[in-house]
Amino acid sequence: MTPDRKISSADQTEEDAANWLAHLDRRGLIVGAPDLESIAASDKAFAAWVNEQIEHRVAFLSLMATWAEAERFTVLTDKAPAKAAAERTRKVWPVVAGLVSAAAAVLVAVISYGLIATPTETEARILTYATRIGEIRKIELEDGSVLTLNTQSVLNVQMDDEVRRVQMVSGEALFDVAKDANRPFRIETPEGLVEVYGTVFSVQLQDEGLELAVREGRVGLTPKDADAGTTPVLTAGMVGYAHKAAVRVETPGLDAIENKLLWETGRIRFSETPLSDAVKEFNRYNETQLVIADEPTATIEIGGTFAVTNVEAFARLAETGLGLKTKRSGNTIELSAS
Amino acid sequence: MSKDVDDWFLRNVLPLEAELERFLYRHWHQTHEISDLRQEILTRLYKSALTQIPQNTRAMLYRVARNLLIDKIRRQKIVSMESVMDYERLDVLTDDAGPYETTSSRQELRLMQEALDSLPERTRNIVLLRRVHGLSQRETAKELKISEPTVERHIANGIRQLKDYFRTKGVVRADKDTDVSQARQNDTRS
Repeated sequence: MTPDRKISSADQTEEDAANWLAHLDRRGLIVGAPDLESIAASDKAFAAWVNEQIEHRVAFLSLMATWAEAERFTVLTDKAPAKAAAERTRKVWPVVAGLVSAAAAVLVAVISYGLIATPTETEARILTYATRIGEIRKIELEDGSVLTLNTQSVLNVQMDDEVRRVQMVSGEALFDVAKDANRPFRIETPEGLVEVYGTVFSVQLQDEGLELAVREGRVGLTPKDADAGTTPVLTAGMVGYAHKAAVRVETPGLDAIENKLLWETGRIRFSETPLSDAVKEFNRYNETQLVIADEPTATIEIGGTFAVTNVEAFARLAETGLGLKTKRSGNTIELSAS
Repeated sequence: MSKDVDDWFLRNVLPLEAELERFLYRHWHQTHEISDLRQEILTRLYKSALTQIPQNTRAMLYRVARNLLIDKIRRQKIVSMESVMDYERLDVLTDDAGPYETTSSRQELRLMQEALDSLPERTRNIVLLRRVHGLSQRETAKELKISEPTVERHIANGIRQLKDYFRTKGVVRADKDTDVSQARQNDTRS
């Protein structure tokens, strides 16, 4: 590790520093908060190098800080979707291979299908499906349509020769509807009727009405108190809102729709999202509820992709990334500015 | 050399590194010299702190940077018009480290994600296993069925690439006033 004056000496110093850091890390000496003195105390050769020139020390400190920062990748599970599942099962090891995305996809699929419980038969041919808090479940219907239920959702399915009917009681679901010209697919909700003509879209029942997001195909939306003739047809990239007699249609585009439907893969994405909204979204998926203590904290904007059930990572981020205080009591985590 | 100065350097100087990088790129056109300039500036700053840790780190950083650039311009045998103009701008811009040159938390997060994405796949997986999943280098090697020296090499390269990324992309112009105040609040809190 001698300086080579032919290339930039600073670049050479940085390379040496990186080699030292990786070497010391291999020996398990880079732990906890960056502390050069204690590292130097445990390795004489390194101590000699780092004390030889201030340039060395500065370069090493700089890389050590970056390496410490890298720990915060923890909360960004986008590239490692298996991580959330790993934390849930408390078995980090076997799932580590899930870093390879194909393996992760298989894993997710297995979990989803594994969770399908025997539906309750309420009466002939009507099947009830429900998801617990934090659960996301995929259901394949006999016609080949696939429904994905988001957290805390309840719906009834009735299939016969003339109609495919879903009664949505609460929550949110993604519908990938198989084409069948002879049997319309109808979704009845307390807030309105959705009629489908072979398509992929999601329906969410909110306090203030129904939200319909269309990924593919054409979908009709009739609000519950509709006057005759108010049935707009939505196509891909459109979002419709129904409440009482009113329907409103917007076209935020396909990217926005994909963002909305990210929960299908167990993730949520925030972009310039006020913390109050992000917390509300998290709370849909977890027994552990986040609470915001003060107004300035509520208005902090955050971004990033998170596993829906990884509320602990989110709380850690609030501490280390946003400088907030967290207070735990029972099932709640309170976030505050001080 | 003391732990106090190290801590000050980690806490007060390194967060300004990306800002310094931008300053250098704006005022120094011989870009191949920038890494040496950066090192020289940080080293001078560290040395001065051994005598006394400055009250205002940012002001001190810019004073050191400006003096070094002016020295270099003076020593150049042929002074081009461009560098004379640089010299004048330097005088004006010494205190140009305005409040807009801070990074908000969400921009920081996005940056982290992008930095990670920018790594080659193998290196990224190794960094994730080591740093996020908390495996040791030995365990990482075993998991990926590669040798320990290979893991060590990927980590050394990974650190440098992450560093480069943060350095060049670390300062994003905050696009809202609230971001700035937020980032500043965080500064004072930590």
